[in-house]
Amino acid sequence: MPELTVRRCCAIFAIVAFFAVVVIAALHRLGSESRVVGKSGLIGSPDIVKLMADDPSEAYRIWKEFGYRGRIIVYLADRWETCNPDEMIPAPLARPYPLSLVNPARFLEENNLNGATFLYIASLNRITRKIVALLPPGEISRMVGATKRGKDFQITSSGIDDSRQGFPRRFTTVDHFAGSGEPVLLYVGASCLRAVEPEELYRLLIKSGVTTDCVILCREKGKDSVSPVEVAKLHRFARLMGLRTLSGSRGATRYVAPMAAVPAS
Amino acid sequence: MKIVTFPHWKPRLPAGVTLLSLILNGILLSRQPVSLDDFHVALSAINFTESGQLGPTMWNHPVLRNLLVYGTMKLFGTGVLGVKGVSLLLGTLCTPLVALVARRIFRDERIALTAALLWAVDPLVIDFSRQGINDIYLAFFPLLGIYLAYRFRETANSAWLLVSGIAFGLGLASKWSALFPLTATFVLIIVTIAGGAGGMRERLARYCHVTALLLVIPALVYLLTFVPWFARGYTPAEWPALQRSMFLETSQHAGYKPKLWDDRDNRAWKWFVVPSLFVDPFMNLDHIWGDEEVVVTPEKNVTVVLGVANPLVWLLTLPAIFFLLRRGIRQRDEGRVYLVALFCCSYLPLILSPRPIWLNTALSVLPYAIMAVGGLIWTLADRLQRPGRGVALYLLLVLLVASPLYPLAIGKGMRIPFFREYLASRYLVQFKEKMPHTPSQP
Repeated sequence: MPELTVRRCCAIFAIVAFFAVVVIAALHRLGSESRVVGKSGLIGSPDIVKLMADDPSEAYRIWKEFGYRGRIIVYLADRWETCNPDEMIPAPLARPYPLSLVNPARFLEENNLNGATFLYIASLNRITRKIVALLPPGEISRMVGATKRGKDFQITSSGIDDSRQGFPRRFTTVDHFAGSGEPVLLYVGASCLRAVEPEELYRLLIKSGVTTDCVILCREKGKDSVSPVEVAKLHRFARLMGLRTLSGSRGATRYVAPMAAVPAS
Repeated sequence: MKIVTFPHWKPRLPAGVTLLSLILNGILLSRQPVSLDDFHVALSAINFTESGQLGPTMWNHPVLRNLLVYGTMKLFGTGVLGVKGVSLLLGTLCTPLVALVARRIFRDERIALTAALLWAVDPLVIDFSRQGINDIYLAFFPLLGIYLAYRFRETANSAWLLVSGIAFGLGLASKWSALFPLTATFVLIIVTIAGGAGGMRERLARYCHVTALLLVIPALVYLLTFVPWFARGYTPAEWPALQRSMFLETSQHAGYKPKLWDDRDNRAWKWFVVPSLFVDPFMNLDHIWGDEEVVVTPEKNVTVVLGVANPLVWLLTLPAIFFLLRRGIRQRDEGRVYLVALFCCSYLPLILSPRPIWLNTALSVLPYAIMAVGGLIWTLADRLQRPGRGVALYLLLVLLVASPLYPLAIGKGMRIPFFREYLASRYLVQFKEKMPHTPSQP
């Protein structure tokens, strides 16, 4: 029977402490290396991917095709679309063994991808780990009321931090946005240009210091709040960013695949 | 460290009670219709393990269930063993663990066997050993941790304390309430060290040793169960925010959806004061599928699972705890005081919680309650001329009461005429309004 000596106790304590450090370091590495990031820069940089999409579903498919993983998505639009995940995978009335089960992420991608769900599905499919929504001040005010029905939220003068089922989200205005500390996937919906001119939006985004490796400009086809005026503004914004060809979706810029996994900062 | 030894005991009787437990937990299990909870447990297991995302159901609880159920589904497919195999195994293994822990606490094999038998036939235990959700884990892992901590005290071998820490870690990764028995066990060992031989240097070394194995190891095990979540790109710096979110939901949780039946029986203080039950009615149209002639009715297509607390056991708990405490203090009996501490640490936070606490959570308290009742029964019986007969009579009464509760616990109450009328009038009225007239595609 082993003796419980002082030396043995101290050795076990040291081993466990060392193991704890190793575990935390390994998890940090796992998390960091799970992120897939391309070459990044400020939004005007010629090195980053800039694409025009017709609708949010197409934006999702671009992210998926490029293989982005574990990223922060910065989402600009005129409003925050909500969906109820609980209602998207209906439980069958008959449930005989063996159970007929699906991978929720794949199931929703195949059956429910649209403008209201694409961010949620991007979260399920590991593309994003956090969403920062830059919305007009009126929409932020509306969301304050909606957020208060939840349990985990913080409302400050600069915006709202609100998690849904543990998934972190931040809602703020573009002039309160101060970057995210790492390259983001930037999604600019045409509807966000109802409230701001392209030049002003471009200036504010540059000022925020946000870096990105992929900007998707989305015409948001079919959205009730988007008219040809907003689409024209989106094209002006694209030209400010240095995107030259705007005809057709996804044809304007060549893809830079394959994407290598790069540890994020 | 004071080493406590126990004589070897013949395992035939505990093995017999375990076999009884396995039969009660497993009988007709594949014919028990799959509840919505079971379905969502399986779905959540896939969602977490393959995508690292919590939910869609019970996202606020720790994630061990997702990993275990996913593992069994990979091994056995999506049949009954895949979905409920873990609960069946752990619920059954609780029976010998109750015996092993009670034997060490009371140093009395009669009490150990009685407690194991009371556990094996308890309707709530049977109910949750047959479900995919993880409430039965809350009995198993802390009991395993306590047993292994006792083995450490018997042998002074650190390996026992290491596996005890791992067991408590797995308990924490099931639900946070495993923290309460972990705290009681940690304090017991610290007190033992404080009262033991050796100078300050030795004691300090032993405090560090116990802290490492009984606090740091469980924390690391808990952390490691989140590996699929970290694989989504999160780092340890982002993890506390997730825990905060889970805690806020859990501490204010009032149910995921409004229930279709009387749901007022959800206060923990009532569990051992008045007869209590856990109600779980659900609709499943397995057997009428494709048969257009059959009319869907609540009586035929709704399963009502009722986990009714056996009043002959549960209502003795508080007197038993009082009796244990009095005797433990008078006789300076460490085991009895420890058992009271386990009970109080596990139960009081639930009583004090402002949110509704349903009876399923009682499984985290029940092992200690049942051991206390076993202790009380034998202490009282020892005053009789023939203690064995007194206990046998009590156990017979317990089994008599448990017998009609068994079909209710396995969801077969609707097949028994008297229960059918009772369940239909009590729990199915609201279901009738929601029933589809003809089955639609699943």
